[in-house]
Amino acid sequence: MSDGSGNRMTRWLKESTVWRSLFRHGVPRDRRTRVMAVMSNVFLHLHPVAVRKSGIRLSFTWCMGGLTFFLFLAEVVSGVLLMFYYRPVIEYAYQDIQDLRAHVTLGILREIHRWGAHAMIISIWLHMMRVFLTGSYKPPREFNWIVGVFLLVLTMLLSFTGYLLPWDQLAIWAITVGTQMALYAPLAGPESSFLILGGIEIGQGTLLRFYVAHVVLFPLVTAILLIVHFWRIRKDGGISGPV
Amino acid sequence: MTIEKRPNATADKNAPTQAPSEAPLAAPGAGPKLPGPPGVPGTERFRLLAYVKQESMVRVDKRPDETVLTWPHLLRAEFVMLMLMTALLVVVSAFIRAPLEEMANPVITPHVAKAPWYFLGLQELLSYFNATVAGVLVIPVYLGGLMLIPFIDRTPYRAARDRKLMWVFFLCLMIGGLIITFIGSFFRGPSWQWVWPWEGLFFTL
Repeated sequence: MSDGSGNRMTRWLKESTVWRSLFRHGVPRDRRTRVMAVMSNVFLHLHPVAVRKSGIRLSFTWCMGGLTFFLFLAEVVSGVLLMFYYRPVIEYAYQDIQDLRAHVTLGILREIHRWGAHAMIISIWLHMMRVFLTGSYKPPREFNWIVGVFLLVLTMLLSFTGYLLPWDQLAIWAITVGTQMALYAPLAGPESSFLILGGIEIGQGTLLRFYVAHVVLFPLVTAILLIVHFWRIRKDGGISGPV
Repeated sequence: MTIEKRPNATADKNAPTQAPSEAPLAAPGAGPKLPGPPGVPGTERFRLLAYVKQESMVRVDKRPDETVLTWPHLLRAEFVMLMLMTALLVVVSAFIRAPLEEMANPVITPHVAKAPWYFLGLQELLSYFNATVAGVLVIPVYLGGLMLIPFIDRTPYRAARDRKLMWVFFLCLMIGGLIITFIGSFFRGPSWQWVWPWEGLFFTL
């Protein structure tokens, strides 16, 4: 293909109705198109068009909030893929996990999901440290700090409910110990134990409850709180920036 | 009266086209007519419609500060971090297997029963106190305390040097949490007895 025809092809493509229905601005090369690229895209529009230079320095943010969000997305993607292979039934669950390792192409899905989950707990903890140390919970950001604490708890709950699903010895005994600890909390009694375990002891009921909580309930609540968290950052003036 | 008659950009579109064409004709010598240019004394009238005594809904600290465009400055940094994290995750996952023990059996209790690692600090703490008291105190106080931080620390300062007490308090809490998590992870063995890491490691991720 000669240069001329390539240019003509490109021009024809860029002037076509389809292309122009997708992109309403040129390649983001100058100030105007760069602003438009962020403004006209729903995902990029999570960000403001311009940010405080001192606020986006890596030494200030540690990038931990962003990485936590990215790890959440990675967990969603790998988790959905895992759901194709896994049945939350005590006769099948363990076998499905073994088959994942042995028979599924690129059999590192479960590894990505598990190590990603551990990394997410570390990154969210570091994010909390950063926000505290830079005083970024100060007015008007008090409420967003509380949303953040809820997100921290949800991250742990997500990890905890996922821990049971492989249905091996490690899983059920860790969950046994964990739920016993949770039941020391005030107002917890035999009824709340039954509520969590879906039975008197860990069994099929527990597996199903933890599965549903892990793949639907907690991710949904987390996603909603993430929306609130990001929205409030924007409303409260973006990344806080150093003093 | 004057306010309603004043031409503006939005009103012009629908109004008959007299106003714009007349304005230049009337201008020389005669001086500004009713819809005069802003700032000429005697041609403008202001009316106080309402005085809204309220905090702004968006309480933002708008200091003059140097800003850069999100595209490319922020997005580039985010993309690089995303790629690094993906690479790290894939490499770690390719080389380190996720643990999987034999199939669950509620009848066989293992020697060491530990919660997931992020709860091991709590498990360690619970081993010090009467379980119910510790349970009643630890979880609500820890979480409640975390949530109340912005309301306890009411000083307007953000710099570390201006809130040393809060820094020390929080860091003690965090480092204390790290230490007991570390002890629970690497120094506890069967029936929660103290075990040095070189005597045996009872820790699974």
